[in-house]
Amino acid sequence: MNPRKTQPDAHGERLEQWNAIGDASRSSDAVAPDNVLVAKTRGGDLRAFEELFRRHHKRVYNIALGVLSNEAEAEDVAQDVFVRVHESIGRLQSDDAFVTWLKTMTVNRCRDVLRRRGRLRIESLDAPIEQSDGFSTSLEIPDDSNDPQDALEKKFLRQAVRKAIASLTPDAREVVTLFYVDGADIATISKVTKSPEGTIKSRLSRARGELKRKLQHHVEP
Amino acid sequence: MSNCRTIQNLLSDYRTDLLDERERAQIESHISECPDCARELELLDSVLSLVENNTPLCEPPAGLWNGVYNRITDPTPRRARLGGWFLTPVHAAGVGLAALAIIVGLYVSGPRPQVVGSASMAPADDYVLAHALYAGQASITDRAAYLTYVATPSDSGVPN
Repeated sequence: MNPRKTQPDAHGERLEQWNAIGDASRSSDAVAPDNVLVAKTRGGDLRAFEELFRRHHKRVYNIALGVLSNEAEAEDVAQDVFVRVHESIGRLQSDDAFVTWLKTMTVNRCRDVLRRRGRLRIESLDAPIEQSDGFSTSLEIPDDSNDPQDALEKKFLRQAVRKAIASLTPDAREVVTLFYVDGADIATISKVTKSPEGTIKSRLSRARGELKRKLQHHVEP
Repeated sequence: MSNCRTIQNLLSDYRTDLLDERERAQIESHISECPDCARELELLDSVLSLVENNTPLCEPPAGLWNGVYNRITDPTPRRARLGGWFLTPVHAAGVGLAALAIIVGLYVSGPRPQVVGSASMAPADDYVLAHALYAGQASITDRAAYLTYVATPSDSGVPN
């Protein structure tokens, strides 16, 4: 019995999705690895920076959306993160660490937003995804099914999962988002959040228990 | 560690690889003999699969790059875009100090109010003097306005 039975497949698929985003375009910058683009950006090459943005903005936005459960705030965070990346890319120690650095900036910016939000209002534990106009929403999730019944069922399940994740505590939401949405492993999450691996595992375990409690009626026969 | 409730509380830790070798062996041994706990583990796995397969990536807003591009290519400092020169602390302090210097200058260089009952005082001067006494308790700008007035020669050639 493998205790990690449920982890590798989904993570492999998610990594392939990120790579596919990188393969979508074929200009010289589009095939260059991140570290080359980082070096070019540092030298003032805006096209290289645009390619870095194109490659990673979806990841940044989805992490922010998962942690914050709010579209407008996620958009602000994504914009701020890339502006800061452009401003401070000269301080990046190793060009190979770009993605970890990017995720760390995203998580830190999300924490700033949560702190500010905490000062403004007490967050509802059942907070749904919020649009900028204040209405709750089911986000436009890509539909990969041709059968309308199947598509509707998938949409329903995705909303249920998203709502369950949104109802977790901010710490748990951060770990669950990085693990399931971004596809990061425990060691990477530990680096990004600057927390020990044991702490990350504990938060993930508690979050999984909570998700089981909230979602098990969707899978019971 | 054979109680079902204890085992079931540890299933999430078990799946997250938080347990040591001994605890893991105990759970596996218990599950192989207990259909209820085995079913709970299956349920947990099904929920985790549900989460893994239903966390799709959402499309970011179309204008995201434009927002970033505009901010990194705009050479104007953010403060200047927001409010103009008068909002900068250095300029605001300069303007404040200049205004204060003018007011203090008027106050120091202007003549003092004349003694009550002076022979040169006209009826209108009584009114001005009464105002001066009142203005002595008023704000510094009122006092400055009054002193400017009394420093100006009257029609009779006598200072007010």
